[in-house]
Amino acid sequence: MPTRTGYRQFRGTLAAILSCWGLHAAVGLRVEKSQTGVTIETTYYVAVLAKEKGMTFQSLTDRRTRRTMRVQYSGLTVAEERERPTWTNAAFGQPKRHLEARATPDFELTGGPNTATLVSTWSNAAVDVRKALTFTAGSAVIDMTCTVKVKRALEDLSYTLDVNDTVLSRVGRFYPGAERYTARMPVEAVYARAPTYSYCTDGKAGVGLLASGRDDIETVAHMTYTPSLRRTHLAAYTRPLRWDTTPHEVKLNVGIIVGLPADDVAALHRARNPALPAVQVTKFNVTHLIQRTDEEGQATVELTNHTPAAQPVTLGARITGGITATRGLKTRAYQIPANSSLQVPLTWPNEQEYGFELLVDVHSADGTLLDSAREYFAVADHFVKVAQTTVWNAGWMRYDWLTPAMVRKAKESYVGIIEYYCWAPDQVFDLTPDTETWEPHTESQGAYRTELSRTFLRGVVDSAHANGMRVLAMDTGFASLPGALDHPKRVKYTRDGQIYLYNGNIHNGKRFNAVGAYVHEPELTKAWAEEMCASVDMFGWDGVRFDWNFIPVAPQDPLHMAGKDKEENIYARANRQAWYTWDGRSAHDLFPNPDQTGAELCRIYRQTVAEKYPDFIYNVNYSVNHGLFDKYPEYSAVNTKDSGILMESLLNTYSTYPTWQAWAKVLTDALSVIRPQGAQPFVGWMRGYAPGGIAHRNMQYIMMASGFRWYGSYGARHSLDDTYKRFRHATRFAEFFYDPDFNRIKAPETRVEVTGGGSDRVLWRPFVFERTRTKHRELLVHLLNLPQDDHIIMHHDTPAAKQDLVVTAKWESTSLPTSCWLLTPDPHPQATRLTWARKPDGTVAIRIPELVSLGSVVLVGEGGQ
Amino acid sequence: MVTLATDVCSNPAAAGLSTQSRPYSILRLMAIVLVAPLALRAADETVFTADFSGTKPLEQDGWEQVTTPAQSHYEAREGVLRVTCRQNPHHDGFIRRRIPIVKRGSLEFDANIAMEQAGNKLGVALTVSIYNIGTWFHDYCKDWRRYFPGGPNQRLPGFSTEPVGHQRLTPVKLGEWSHYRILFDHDAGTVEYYCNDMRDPVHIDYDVPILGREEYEGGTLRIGSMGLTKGPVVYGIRNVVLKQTTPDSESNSPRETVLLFHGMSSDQYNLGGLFTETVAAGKTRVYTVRTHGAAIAPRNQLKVDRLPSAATVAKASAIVLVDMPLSPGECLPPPLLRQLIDAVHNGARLVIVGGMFSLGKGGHSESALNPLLPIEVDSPWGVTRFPEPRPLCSEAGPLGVALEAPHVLWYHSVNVKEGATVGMTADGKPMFVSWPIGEGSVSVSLPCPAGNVWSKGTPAFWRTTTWRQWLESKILEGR
Repeated sequence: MPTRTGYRQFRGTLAAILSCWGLHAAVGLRVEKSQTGVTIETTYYVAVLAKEKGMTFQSLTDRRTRRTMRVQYSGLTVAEERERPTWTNAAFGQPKRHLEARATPDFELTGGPNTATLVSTWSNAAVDVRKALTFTAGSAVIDMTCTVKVKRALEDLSYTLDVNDTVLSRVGRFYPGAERYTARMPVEAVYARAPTYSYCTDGKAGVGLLASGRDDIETVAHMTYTPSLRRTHLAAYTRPLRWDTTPHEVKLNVGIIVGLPADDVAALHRARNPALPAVQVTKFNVTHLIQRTDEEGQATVELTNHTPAAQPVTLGARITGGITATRGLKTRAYQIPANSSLQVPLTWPNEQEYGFELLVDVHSADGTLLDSAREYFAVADHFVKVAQTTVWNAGWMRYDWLTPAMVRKAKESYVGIIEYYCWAPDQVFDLTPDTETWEPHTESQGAYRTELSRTFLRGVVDSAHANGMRVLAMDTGFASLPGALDHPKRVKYTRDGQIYLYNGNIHNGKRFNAVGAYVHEPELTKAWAEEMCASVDMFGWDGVRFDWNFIPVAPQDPLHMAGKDKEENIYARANRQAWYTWDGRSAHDLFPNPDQTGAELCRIYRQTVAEKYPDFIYNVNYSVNHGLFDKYPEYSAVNTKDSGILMESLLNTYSTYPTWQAWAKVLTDALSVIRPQGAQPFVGWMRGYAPGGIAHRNMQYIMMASGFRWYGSYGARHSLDDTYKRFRHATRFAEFFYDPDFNRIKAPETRVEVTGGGSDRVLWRPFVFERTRTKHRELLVHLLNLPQDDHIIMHHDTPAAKQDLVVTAKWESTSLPTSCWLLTPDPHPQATRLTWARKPDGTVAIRIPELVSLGSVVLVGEGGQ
Repeated sequence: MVTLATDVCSNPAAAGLSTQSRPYSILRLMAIVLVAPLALRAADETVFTADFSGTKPLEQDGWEQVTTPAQSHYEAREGVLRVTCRQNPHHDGFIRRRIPIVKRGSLEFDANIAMEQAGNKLGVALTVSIYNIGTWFHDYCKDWRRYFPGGPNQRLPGFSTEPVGHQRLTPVKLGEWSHYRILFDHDAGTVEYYCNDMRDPVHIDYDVPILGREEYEGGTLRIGSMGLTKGPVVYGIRNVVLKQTTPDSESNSPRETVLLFHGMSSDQYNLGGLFTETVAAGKTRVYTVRTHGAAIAPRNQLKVDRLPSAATVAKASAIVLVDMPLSPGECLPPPLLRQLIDAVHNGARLVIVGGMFSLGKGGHSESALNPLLPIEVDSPWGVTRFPEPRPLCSEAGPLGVALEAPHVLWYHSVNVKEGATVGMTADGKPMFVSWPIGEGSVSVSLPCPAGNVWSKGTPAFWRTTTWRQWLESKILEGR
């Protein structure tokens, strides 16, 4: 223990080391400069900045509670553009990132009576940075202003503040909204558009960021990290910078708040943003993203009064489906107390299928529009008609604490279907684990050891259902080695008499192997289907997604079932080698007509499950472009009827299908094959793009225009990955992308011509469809505004909007069209009425004033079947 | 200490192993384990040691420099030979010296790969070769490889052994010293490669022409450079020792190692928990079959993670093949099988524990092991099942009490060869068959760890303590 004398000596030494600079301590600002950094103290906080961290924060102390939060990381993050300027036949990697905390800045500390400003400057090949942190006596806000000269193309810039504080991470809530949100990494955070703030407090200490939106900061994000890290993440991001011509300048202004009650932070936000409406729609949630036709729609609107006086308002709502079929909900009046929020529930009966917009608007007592907001949902019992798909697997998605964040993020991005991957103890023999916890058999493409629990998996499904999302059980069709040894008669054998091991590995001493299962007898297939029914009973799955096929003599993986050149396809060659049953019977002898057998077994599986669960959706990985409908016609028909069809074989946009035209062609060719079956295709796992780039956006537009659904990742709403905008559009106008009644016209030039300014850079030929119903006819043409280069995976500048395009269409009906519309995605999904004229030759000329990105022309009229 | 170890090692009975109490025996056994390698090595005769002290030029120490100033450079300093390799693809020179011809022995050395100027490393540079055995270090792939000579048209200038037929031996860490050992037996044609851990080789080559023409022309040790670099890279070599192994030094070593080959049902059998005494003494060696790649055609792709050395096999008291396939491929190469057979003739017990990948399903009938088996194995489809699980019975009656008796459902249905002994049955069918071979024995366990035996309320034999103890006793009996 140091003695008092020793302590004095220590202080004396410290005082000698430090050049202590007291700036009007009486008014609440104290600055100490040392060899290692700077300490600045106000009545609200003590901030320690460290030289070794590039003069960024080392700790922040909330003086109300005297709690010191260690700063794990703070400062700028510079993300360089990952998109290459030209096509290179390769996918994009990760961007190069520069962290301010690793910089060695020059810095200068200046002060006045009530303020101290720390200016730091640093440079690298990408940026020149000048950052000022201003500390003000009597203020809980540290103002960060930053001017960045950008010398290389960037994806974005961000300011991050990650603090380590056990209490904050365990019980802290983020304001506004008082929500907890725990995820694994910043791309999973909640992003809100500026002007906004995010303040995390446990009711005692707190830390947060304020953004006014009057600079290049576009969003503020927050989350609590994985519980074991005890870390809170706050960040402010600029708009995407990849299209700015270098050199250019970016300005970031962020307020760093320490040591205030949540209400005071809200007041600060209001004070700093006088333009906020008196009453604002601060939250808007449609309860179910995908609704059943017989369910009552529900939504909640949060109205926040930003004024110190109670506000009488009226809330109107209307639902728009189809193109412009609008119905209003009852307008209601509310009184919102001063500086408070009010939750308002909405309900409505659903009347038809596909996508809808729910628009709410708030008016003051005198009828002035104060604020409005839109949200989107879809109605379909056959949910693959309207939903995009993503995959979660047991390697990372296995914690109860992660479920709320993942479900919320998916829903906010309009991802309606979650596929849970490699979850079962055995994907053929055991889809109903006997114990609360088990080790899923992950071997098929890459094995790892992990653990799942029934409670967790049921929680995922329940949480998804509570938000109107659906969950598929993925099934590789491979048995496990333990399962195979338990069921020796129900697995395939090699000609050596060994159980057929497709692949395998040993992980931490345990053997994993994927084993070819023998399910090629009706009763065995039925048993498998009954096991799936039992699994639905246990977990509540809405469907299955097979990585498998029922054809008894075919490669295990559907991706390998056929190639362009079947003779050279190694899988086709491998298929000439028979597998055997347990007693040595050759598959080639047993199944002289594999197509017929596969069809029968597939039918049995589907019927068995459907008898108990009629809404259960069958999804399968199937490469229809590669001649499978010719080679296996019966099986293909049964396999694809009303199914979800994953076309993993068509995902490669960086090499195999490298141009917009090539990819659109293979997608729409595949659509033409399966749409008559009522099947809904999806493509993926999509990869290789830069989130939010033109390549990414146009891939999604092509995917939608081709009648496909996405099978891949997505970013948080308002993040750099703006996938949600395309998915929002796909949800709202799902009917025009996914209704199987829209038949693709294979010789589009005979029906449609697109002319006008820049029409040579508009992709439309693959996307011409027609739907005829009783006395009703529609011609649909999706138009995509292409950038200068046809290759997909490279950097593209945003193409200039095309002006005054003309779509000339043959209208094969005796009666005239009744209306014509352009469906566009931005700034929100909308239908704009187009003008058209009948030409002397009988065609209809439609004028499109402007095409920004994707536009879907819908010509509507009479004269159907 | 070496003398004591040699005594104990060469005469275990004199050390009291068979008469002492068990804990004392274990201590003694551990003492033997600790000193046994020294005992064996003590019998090796050092025939050459390189002097890299730098006290005299390399030429004066017998090294011939086949290099120019523009090629690789060799400097001995403080016990380390510093080899500076330069960018001269396949023409970077070498040094060599005459060494005695040793037909059975080892070359050991320490090497530090890319010790200095590692930024210039690119591909292949440092080579260390003895007789007809060539090895190189791959800087980029970070591994040690061997190669064998090709035809004269493939030769590089100055090299009589060219980089053809190369084989990855083991990963290496760049910038760190590691110990390497090449153990060779010219008459057996085997070369075993070791790195750091000297218990098991990282790779074994069989049927190798180890001496080649050098048997008549004189032996050579060569250290050189392949010259595939971006610029100068410095490598270190030290403690180069060539030893000759005396066969007598191994023949007297005790037979006390259990070789456990984990086949495909190894998780079900979980026999690693047996042989606690030998495990505790570090005398159980485990070799594991793995699948590799994706078998897109119905033909399994199997290999063993590593193989035992010839010396290890020679010291085996028991060799246990647990549902161990011998094919497809060469899970256990024919030369190794021959070593195993020799070990059995010399006193080892070979126990084949059956499963869905062994005997008729494991290619045993086409292997050199077949004549040794006490059963007739002819079909890959010889595994069948009882209508209901059946209890296992030994000569003394049922194993275990009624409700806990080990039961079998699937089994290898075989004919027993004349002269073999059936040690266990189920429903009258042979389940464990043995016979003596030379000074050892061969036993076959015929039940398969397969089928939902327990769903009938009966204990699956492979999970019962009774059966496991019975099997252990059969494996260890007579030790």
